[in-house]
Amino acid sequence: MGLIEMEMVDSLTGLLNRIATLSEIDELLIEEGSEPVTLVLLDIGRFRKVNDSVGIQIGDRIIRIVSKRIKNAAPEAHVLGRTSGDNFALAFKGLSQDQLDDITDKLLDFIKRPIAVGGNVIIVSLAIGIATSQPADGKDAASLFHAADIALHHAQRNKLEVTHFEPHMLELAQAAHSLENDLRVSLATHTPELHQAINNEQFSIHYQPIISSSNYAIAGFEALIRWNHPQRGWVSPGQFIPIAEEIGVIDMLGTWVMRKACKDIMQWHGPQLAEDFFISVNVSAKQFKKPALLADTINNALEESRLAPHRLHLEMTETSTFNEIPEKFFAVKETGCKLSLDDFGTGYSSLTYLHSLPFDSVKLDKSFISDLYVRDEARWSLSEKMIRAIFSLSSAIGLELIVEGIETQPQLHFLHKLGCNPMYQGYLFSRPIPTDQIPDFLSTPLHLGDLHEQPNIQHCLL
Amino acid sequence: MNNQIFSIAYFSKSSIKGSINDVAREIESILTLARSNNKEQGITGALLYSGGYFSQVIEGPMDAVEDLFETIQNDPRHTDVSVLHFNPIPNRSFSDWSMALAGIEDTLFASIDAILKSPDELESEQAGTALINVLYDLVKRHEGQV
Repeated sequence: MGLIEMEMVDSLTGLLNRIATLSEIDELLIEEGSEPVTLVLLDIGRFRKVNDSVGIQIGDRIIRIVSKRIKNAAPEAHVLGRTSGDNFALAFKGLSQDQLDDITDKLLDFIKRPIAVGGNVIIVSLAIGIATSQPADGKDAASLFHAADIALHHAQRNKLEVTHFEPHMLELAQAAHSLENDLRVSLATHTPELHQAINNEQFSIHYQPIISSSNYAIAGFEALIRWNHPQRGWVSPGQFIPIAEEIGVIDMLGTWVMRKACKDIMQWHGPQLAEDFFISVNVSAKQFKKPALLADTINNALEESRLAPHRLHLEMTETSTFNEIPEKFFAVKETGCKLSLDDFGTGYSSLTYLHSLPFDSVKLDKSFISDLYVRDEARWSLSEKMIRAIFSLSSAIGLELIVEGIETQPQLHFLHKLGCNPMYQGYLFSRPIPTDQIPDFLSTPLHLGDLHEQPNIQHCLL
Repeated sequence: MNNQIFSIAYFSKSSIKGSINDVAREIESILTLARSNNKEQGITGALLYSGGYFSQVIEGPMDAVEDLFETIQNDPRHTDVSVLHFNPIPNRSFSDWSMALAGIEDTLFASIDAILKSPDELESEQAGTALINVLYDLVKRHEGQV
């Protein structure tokens, strides 16, 4: 192999390397004729995980096999290169939409077939981002590549297999990127004394009361992190928590919330508080992956605040990884805190979790309750049946039930009629309250609405 | 050196179009080519076509099995491949055949259908063994007729 060839070729697969791929695409773009060039970027999903589990040598063999499958599935590609570890680029000239669909179907079909390698059978997943050069576009490979890359990220973020670039994705990508940067910067500046710095500045905790239905005392509070960004204002946790997980600062944030929440609850007094009222803290699946660290965090927070362990509840949303980590739940449970399964009834909702994992309570997903609000009788009736079933299921296996998202009197009235004693949470009782307003909140009687009034449920269906 | 014999068992959906006779002709040509290559590579096994599905067992040294399986994976004449097992085995089941034909049937065998439909109930490993047994019986019967 000559020197020039070596610089052009990816040594593992024999395909073009990134630089050569881009320069070949540039050639295609400036060729005579106005046929558009279509760039297909292909990324092997979770390849780092595959590499971790089977080793780099077998990982390399998988990359070689995949590169051959791509070649075999799309022989008509004008350019085919490996642009990074698990990233491949194919460029075509003058493709019709039908031809492009055929090609992506074939790529998906062949690459996702099982691979037998080193005594293992591996099935890889993939995402594809596509961009087509338009006559109006700046005709260079780098911008076409950038567009396809944005489409690829869009596909990955939305768990799609194939995405074509559209201009609005650029704005979304820029927004996500700048939000991520803001979070990085905000966290980086706070890193040294995070718990104190955050407290006084951008991050804060709001607490939403959880009400006992038997005596309408406040059974506990859910701690909800809030971010007030100096330029952006309030950023929703739904936006920044995934980024905090991605950039690896979720442990820091989670630790801060837990320590502060445990301390705060020790300060609160009031006649409507139940004895031993609890504080419920959200824990991300990422935190749960390191149970020893999480258990340390819990123990430290409990020790520091002198909060009795059973008054700390951890809420977690079910994920597909639950079944891989039963022993982790038990490690955390040893701290003495209680575990609550969040958003129950959506997502994976495996009933196995309820008896195989040491949960103390479940939180019924908001969607069931919000269906009690719609004007569609069929949905109302289905939701009603589901709620009844989940009530009896949870009480049969000794789990406490918390119903979230209660916003209206009819919803409360309906739940009341079911005759079991769950806990309630929702705007009907109180919005999440900023920490400094809690003393005021505790000194005024709770607004419960009038339960004795019999609202006409049919009426709100109209 | 790893002299162990491995066996891989899989199902796939046929993409061969046409009558059962067209399918039979295509499969004969697959087998003719396979048999001469397989002998050199120390590969033995069996292939069944029934009711639009291929079932195949391939035995041999690990690398040879993996290479052949990869060649088969790149074949557009089938799709929806699912592997039932890939494991070292103490003895070959098809030592007499470089690639035996277990049959070309228009309808799906009930025994194959049962394995096909119950990958969750039957553990994959069990399903693999079941497939090998079914193919073995069929090969015995089929080759016996010749």
